[in-house]
Amino acid sequence: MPARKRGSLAFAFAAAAVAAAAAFAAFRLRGASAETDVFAMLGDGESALRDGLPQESANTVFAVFSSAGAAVSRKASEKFASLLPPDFDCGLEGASLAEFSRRASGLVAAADFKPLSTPEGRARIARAAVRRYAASPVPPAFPPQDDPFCLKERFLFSFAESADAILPVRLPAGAAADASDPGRPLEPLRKAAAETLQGADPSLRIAFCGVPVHAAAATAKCRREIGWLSLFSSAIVLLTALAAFRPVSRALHLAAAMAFSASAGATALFLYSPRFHVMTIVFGTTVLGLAADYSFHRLLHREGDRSVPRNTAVSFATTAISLSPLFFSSLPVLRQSAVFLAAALAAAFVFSAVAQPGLPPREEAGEETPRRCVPLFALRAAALAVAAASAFAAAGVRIRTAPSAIYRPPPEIAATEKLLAAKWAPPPEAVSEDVRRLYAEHARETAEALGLESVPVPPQAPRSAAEALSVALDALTEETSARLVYALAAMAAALAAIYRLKAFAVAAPSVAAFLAAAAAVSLSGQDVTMFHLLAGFLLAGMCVDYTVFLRSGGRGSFKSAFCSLVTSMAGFGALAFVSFRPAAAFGTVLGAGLPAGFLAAAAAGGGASARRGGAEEKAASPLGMEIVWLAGRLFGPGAMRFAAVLAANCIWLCSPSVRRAARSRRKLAFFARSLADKVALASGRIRPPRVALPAGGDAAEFARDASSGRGLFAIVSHCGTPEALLAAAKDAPLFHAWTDMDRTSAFSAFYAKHACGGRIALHPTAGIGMETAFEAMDWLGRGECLVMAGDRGSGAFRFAAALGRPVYFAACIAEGSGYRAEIVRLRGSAAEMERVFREALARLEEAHPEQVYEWGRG
Amino acid sequence: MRRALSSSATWRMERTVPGTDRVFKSSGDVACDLGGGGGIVWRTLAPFASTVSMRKDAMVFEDEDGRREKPAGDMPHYEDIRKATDAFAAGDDGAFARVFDTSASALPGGRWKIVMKPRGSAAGKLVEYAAIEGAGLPETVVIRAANGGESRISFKRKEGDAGKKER
Repeated sequence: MPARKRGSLAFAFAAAAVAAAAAFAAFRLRGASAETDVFAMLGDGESALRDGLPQESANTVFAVFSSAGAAVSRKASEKFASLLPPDFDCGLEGASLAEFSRRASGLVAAADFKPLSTPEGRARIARAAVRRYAASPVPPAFPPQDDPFCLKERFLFSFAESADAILPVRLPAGAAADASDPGRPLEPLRKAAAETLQGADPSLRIAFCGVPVHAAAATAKCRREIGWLSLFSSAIVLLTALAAFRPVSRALHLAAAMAFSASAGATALFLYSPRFHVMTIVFGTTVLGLAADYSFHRLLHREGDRSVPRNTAVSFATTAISLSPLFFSSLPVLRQSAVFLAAALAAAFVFSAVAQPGLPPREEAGEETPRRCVPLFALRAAALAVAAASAFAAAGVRIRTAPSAIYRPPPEIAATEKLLAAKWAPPPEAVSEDVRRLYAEHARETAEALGLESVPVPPQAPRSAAEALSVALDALTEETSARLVYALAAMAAALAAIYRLKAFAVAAPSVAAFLAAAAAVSLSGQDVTMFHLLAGFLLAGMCVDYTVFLRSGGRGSFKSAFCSLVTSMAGFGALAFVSFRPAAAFGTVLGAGLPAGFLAAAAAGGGASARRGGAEEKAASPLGMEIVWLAGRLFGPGAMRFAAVLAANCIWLCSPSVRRAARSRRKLAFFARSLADKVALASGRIRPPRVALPAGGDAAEFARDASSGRGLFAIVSHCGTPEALLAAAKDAPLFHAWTDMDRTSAFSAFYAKHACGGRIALHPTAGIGMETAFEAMDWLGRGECLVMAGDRGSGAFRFAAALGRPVYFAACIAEGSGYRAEIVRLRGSAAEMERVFREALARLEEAHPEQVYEWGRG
Repeated sequence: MRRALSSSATWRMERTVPGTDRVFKSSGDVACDLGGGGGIVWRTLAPFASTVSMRKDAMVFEDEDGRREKPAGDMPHYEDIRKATDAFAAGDDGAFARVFDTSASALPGGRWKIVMKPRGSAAGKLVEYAAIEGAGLPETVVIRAANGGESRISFKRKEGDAGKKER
C-alpha cells in the first residue's frame, strides 16, 4: 500500500478512535442507559404518560392460576401470595382490577346492568349502597368515597367461582420504572410460582400478564433480535464492501467512516439525553447506512470528480432538512433520534470529504470511459409497472392508532390476557353512561347519607393503560403525520431551489417508493402506524439520494448507489422480520420502498444521462417513442403519425425547454410526423408513406440513375423528410446514410434501433474517415446510393465530386398524407454544386418554412 | 363461644368508615342455629329493614329489592369460614386455626377476649381482625376493616332464648 494511502487510512482510524473515546466518555459521564418499554418510548424516564396512568395498571402484574378445580387454583394463589416478599402487595381479588378497568365508572356486575338502565333501578342501587355502609354485618370492601354506590363491591361479589383464580400483585414502588432491566422485578414472582408448583396438583398452571410483563417480554425479545440484526447487518455491509472495493483495503475506510459517524451520533445523544430509548438506536442505525452511502459514493468515484462533493452536499442538505421537523417533536424518542442523526450525518459528511480518498483519475487507471449498459426502456417500464401495481395494492392501506397495531404480545401472555378479559370485561359504553347517570342523579343524597362532602361524577377520561396509550398514539400519529408533511414540503422546496423544474424528476422516485411501501404495508396485512410514518422520513431522504447520485451517471454512481441499497436493505429489510412491531414497521416501509425508489431513480437517472446528446432533447422520452412505434405496428402509419404528433404537442405544452427549442408548434408537429414517417420507411415493417416524383426533368433522371445499378450520390438537407427518398427511388437496391449514432441522443437511438429492416444502412458520422471513401466506392460500384447532408459544410460536396457519380439535391416536401420529391441535378465542381444546392434549398425553405426543422436549432 | 353459635340476641352496631366522620348506627337481632346444623339469620331493623340469612349452602339477602340467594360455592372465603364455624360448633376446637390466627385472653371479672386474624391473604385484605369479648356469651364484637373502618357490635341476649339455652 502506498505511503499516501496508508497515511489517509491511519488518519481515518485515528479520527474514528477519538470519536469512539468521546462517545465512551460521554456515556460514562452522563450515566447513560437505554429505555426499552413502550411507555418510555413515548415519554422519557419520568414519563408524564406513565405517571398519568393509574399505578394499578402500570405497576400491577396479574397472576392467573388455572387448574382442574377451583379449590386447587385458590389454594395455589394463596400459597403463591404467602411466598412473595413483603413489598409485593397482593390485592383483594378484583380491587386492583376495578382500577384497571377501561372506564372511569369501573367494572359493573352484570346483574346491575338492567337496574342501572332505569331511574327506579338507579335509585334502588343508591339506597342499597347506603344500607351496605350503614348496616351490613360485613365491613365494606372500599371506603365510600371510592365506591359510593358499592358498584365495585357488587362487581367483586358477583363472580361465579371458576377454575381460574386471578391474583393482582402490585410491584414495589418504582420497580416497573426500572428500564434497565424490566424483567428483574418479575423474578420474585417467577420464583414464587416455581415453589407453588412444586408438589402441587399436576393440572395447575401459573401465568402472568399486565404492563410489567409485557415490558419485560418485549424488552428481552427486542434486545435479542436487535443483537442478531446488528450482526447480520454488519456482515452484509462487510461483504458488500469486500465485493465493491478494489483493492479490498479501501473497505477499511468504510469501516472507519461508520465508526466515526456512529460515535459522533452517540456522543451527541448521550450529552443530549442520557436516558435514551432503544428505538432511538434502531432509528439511529439508519445513520450507519447513510454514512456508508457517503463513503461508497466517495470511495467509488474518481479523484477530481466534482459531482461527488456536490451530490453529497445535496444529499446531506435534503436529509437534514427532511429530519429537521423531528427536532421539534413532542416525542422524546424522535428528538433523540434527530440529535443522533444530525450529529452522525454531519460527521459522516465531513469525514467523507476530509478523510476519504477517491479512486485514481481515469487516465491514471487506464480504464475505458464507462457507458451506461442498463436498458433504459426496460428500467422505465419496470419502474412504471412497479409504481402502477403499488398504487393498486396500496389502495387498501389505512392508518390505525390502537396499541395492538404496534405491539402484539407473545402467545402465552396473550392467552393470559384473554382469561383476564373474559372475567373482567369492561362494561359496555351504554352501561358506563348509566353509571354516570347514577352518579349525577344520586350524588347529593348519597353524599348526605354517607357523610361525604360530595360524590363527584366520575370523569369520562380513559384510565386503562391500553386506552391511555391509544389516546396518546392518536395524538402522536397526528403529530408525526404533520411533521412528515412539513419534512416533505421542506425537502421539495430544497429540491426546487437546487434543481428548479428538474426537481420533479428528482422527487419522483420518492413517490414511487412511498407507493411501494404503502403497498407492502397493505399486502402484509399491517396498518399504518406512527412508526411507518417515521420510516417515511428516511425513505424520502434516501430515495432523493439515489436519484441525486444516479443522475450524475456513470458506472461509479450506479455501483455506489447499488452498494448503498444493498447495505440499507441488509439493515432495514431485515427489520421487517423482527417481532418488535415498531422496528418491523421500519423494515416493511424501507424494505419495500428502497428497492422501488432505487429502480425509479435508476430509470430517472438513465433518462438524465440521455440528455447529454442535446439540452433540447430533455423531453425526449424513449418510452413515449416506443409507444408511437407500437401504434404504427398495430394500427398502421396513420396511427403512428397521429400518436407522434399528439405526443409532440403534449411535450410542447409541458416542457419549457421544448418550447424554447421549437418556437412554432407547426414545426414541432412536422418534426414528429417526419420522425414517424422516416422510422416507418427505414424499418421496412410499417407501410411507407406515398412519395410523388415529378415526371420528366432531373427527377426522371434521378429515377433512372437510382435503378441503373451505377449508383448515385444524393445530397439532402433538413428541409422536409430526406428519408422519403427511399420510397421515391423504389428500385434502388440500398441507401447508405450517415447519422449521429451516439446512444445518448434519444431520437437518433430510436431511429437507429428501428432502421434495420428496410433498404437503408446507417453509418455513424463519428466513423467517417479515409476508409469511408473506399467503402463508398464499393457501395457505388454495387449500384447502391449514398445520402449525405449538405447543409453542414462543404465536405459532402467535395466527397461527391471526388466519387464521380451522378449527384442530386433531393428534398421530400410533405403534401397531404404523402410527400412530393424535389430533385435537382448538381453538376460541375464541388463549389458549383454547393451553390446550386444552396439556391435550391433557399427556395424550398422560403416556400415551406414549417418543414425546415433541425432538432436543437429550431 | 360454642354456646353463642346456638343462641339469639339483639344487636346494636356503630360503624366508622374512612373518609367520613359520621358514625353509622344500626340495630336488629340475630338468631344462630349452627349447633343444630342451621344458619345465622342477621336481621336489621333500623335504620333499614333487611335480613341476611347465612345458610350452609348459600347466603340469602332480603330487603326492599326482594330476595336474592347466592350459593356458597360462589363465595370461597365464606365457604371456608362457614366450614370452620360448623366444625367448631361440632366440637373441633382447632377448627378456626385453619382460617384464623387466634389468640385468647382472660380479663378481670370473669371476662374473656378472643382476637381472630384471617389467615388468607385475600380475606385479610377485607378484615384486619375481629375481637370478640364477653362474659359467658359474647357481648361485643369489634371488626377492624383492612381499609381502616371499624364496626363495633354489642349483643344483648334475648330473655326467652337465654332460659332455653341454659336449660
